[in-house]
Amino acid sequence: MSGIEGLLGGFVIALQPVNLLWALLGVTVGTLIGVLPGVGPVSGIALLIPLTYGLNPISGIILLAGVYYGAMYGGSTTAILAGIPGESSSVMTAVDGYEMTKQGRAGVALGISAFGSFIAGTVGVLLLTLFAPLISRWALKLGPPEFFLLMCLAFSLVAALTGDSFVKGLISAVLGLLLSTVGIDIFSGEPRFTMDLIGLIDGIEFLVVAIAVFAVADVIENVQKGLSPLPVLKPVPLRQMMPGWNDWKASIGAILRATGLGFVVGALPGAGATIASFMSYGVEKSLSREPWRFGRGAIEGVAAAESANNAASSGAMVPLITLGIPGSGSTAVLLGAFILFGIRPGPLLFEQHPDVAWGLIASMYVGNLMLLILNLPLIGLFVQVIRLPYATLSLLILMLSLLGVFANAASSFGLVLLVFFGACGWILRRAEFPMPPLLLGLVLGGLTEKTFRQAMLLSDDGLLIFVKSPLSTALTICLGAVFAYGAYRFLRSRMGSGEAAQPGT
Amino acid sequence: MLEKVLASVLAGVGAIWFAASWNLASGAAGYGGAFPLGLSALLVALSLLLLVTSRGVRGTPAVSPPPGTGTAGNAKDWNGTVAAAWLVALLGGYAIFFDLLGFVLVTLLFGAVYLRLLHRASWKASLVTSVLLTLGGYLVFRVLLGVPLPTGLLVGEIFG
Repeated sequence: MSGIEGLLGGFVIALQPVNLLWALLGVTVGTLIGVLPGVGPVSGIALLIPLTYGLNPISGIILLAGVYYGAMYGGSTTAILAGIPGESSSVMTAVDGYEMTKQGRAGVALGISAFGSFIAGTVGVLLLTLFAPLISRWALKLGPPEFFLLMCLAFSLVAALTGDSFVKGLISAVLGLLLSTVGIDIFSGEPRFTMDLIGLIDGIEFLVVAIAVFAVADVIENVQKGLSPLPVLKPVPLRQMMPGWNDWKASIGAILRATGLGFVVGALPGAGATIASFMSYGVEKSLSREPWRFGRGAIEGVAAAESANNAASSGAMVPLITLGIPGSGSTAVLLGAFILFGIRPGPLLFEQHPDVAWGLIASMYVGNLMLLILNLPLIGLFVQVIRLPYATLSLLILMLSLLGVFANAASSFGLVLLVFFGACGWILRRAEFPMPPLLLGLVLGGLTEKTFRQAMLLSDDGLLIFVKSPLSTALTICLGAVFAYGAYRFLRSRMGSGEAAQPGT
Repeated sequence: MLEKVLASVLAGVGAIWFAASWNLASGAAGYGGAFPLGLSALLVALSLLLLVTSRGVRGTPAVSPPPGTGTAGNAKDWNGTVAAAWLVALLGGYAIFFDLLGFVLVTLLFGAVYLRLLHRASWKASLVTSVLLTLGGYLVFRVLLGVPLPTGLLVGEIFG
């Protein structure tokens, strides 16, 4: 099936009224999750997975993907209006966006961030449409050793780029991989590390851990810190949100550059939307003839940051759907959802489930348009929603966590695991262990072990198979380079010179 | 300090996992142990590296300092940790009593105690919110999604 044919087929699926409805629900809930500072996109998607059980896989995935990129749009609202980023990827939006609010230009800031997000999101999906089938076809040629190395590369990149300690990131990934080995061994059929508990025979459910270390640990952490209530925000009338000619002239270059950069950065494992927005902001500042305006309400700063994080969220879909290797916490949860629906993303997705692959891509075009049309008029409503007291919101999150896990596990043992991993996640996060690598390790653990063991069975000289073909040698060299970079950063920060923390994704 | 303790605990977990994998690797399953064996060895090595390089209390703290400084900050941090521990205990209680007391009773109790104890809401507000959320949870999960939520062994005994 050619790309255009596939995409048209995808639109037929995405434009079915019922799927339009799911996309609408997804982007709206996603925007809400983005707006609310107490809930991140990973928790949001994980909490919604149990609610999608009754749906067919395509509708379910369209809904969850809507939540994923809707959250990117929503994050900017509180960043601009109150200087409080809803997500880490909106931190740079807050810098100039909030300044613009103080100067009475909140409407224009919200407008340009919505238009920038739309342009970046749409161009991002267009790039995804072009590249995904190509990469998929290329990936079909990869054997177990190459796949194993690609996954190791993803783990080490995520470990190196999320959080500020490479070693902690690696520990987190190793813990996730170890947890994935609990349960029946796929090769021999024997149970492993189950401590004779019947509940562990089927392994540790990905969803339980995802909800525990994100949603539950979030609430525990916020209860511990005592979240301060948000200020009352003034809604902005719609007519003030239209950027003028000068605003467009100042921003369009930034939007287009941020789209390209954001897409590429987003497609790399570990980097993601947060780093993309930091980088794009930096690029615009260095290109500007008046860099002093940045931080004082420069509209191109808002445009760059918001466009970059949206383009990155499309870019991050590339490795997820073509290789089945997510590069961040939120795409790891999306992969978990795919698997729960019985679909394994990867090189074969476009061949075996073209309806899902193209339906998802087409729904992203539609979703972006919905977000643009809906978002601006509904900002007044979203501003009201954030006044929901955290006590009620957190109880809602806890209940969704507990009931969602029970619905998934159908036993209260799942709840015990949820509380155990929630507490462990909270403690690990207090010591600044990043959680995305753990999730990635758990969701990819089975495949990592499978490809490793297949590679070992194929190999006559043990580990030397990882340097046998030119591609695997190149991947091994890349892996070595990431380790060297991570080790250098780790030692430099530990030896006393200190280093600014890298933002997490 | 927390980092050092955690690094030690993780090294211990790694060592236990290593021993368990060793048994598997040397048993009939063969390769079933090789992968976890390598991983657990890596966990021990990384945890020890973290332990050795952790600066803990000396120099710059490895873990971010609590908000506020001096005794007031420490007291706030301590209160926060106690509140968090309470929440973990409450959640543990929920998990343990879920089957015994049933969804409705345990959720009502959990919600009310959570809001009253950890967010200092009034008893009335706590109860009303808790009742509404329990009802919502029942409607969505039991009625809409058909999840077999437990009615409770105790409730079942009493009401037959």
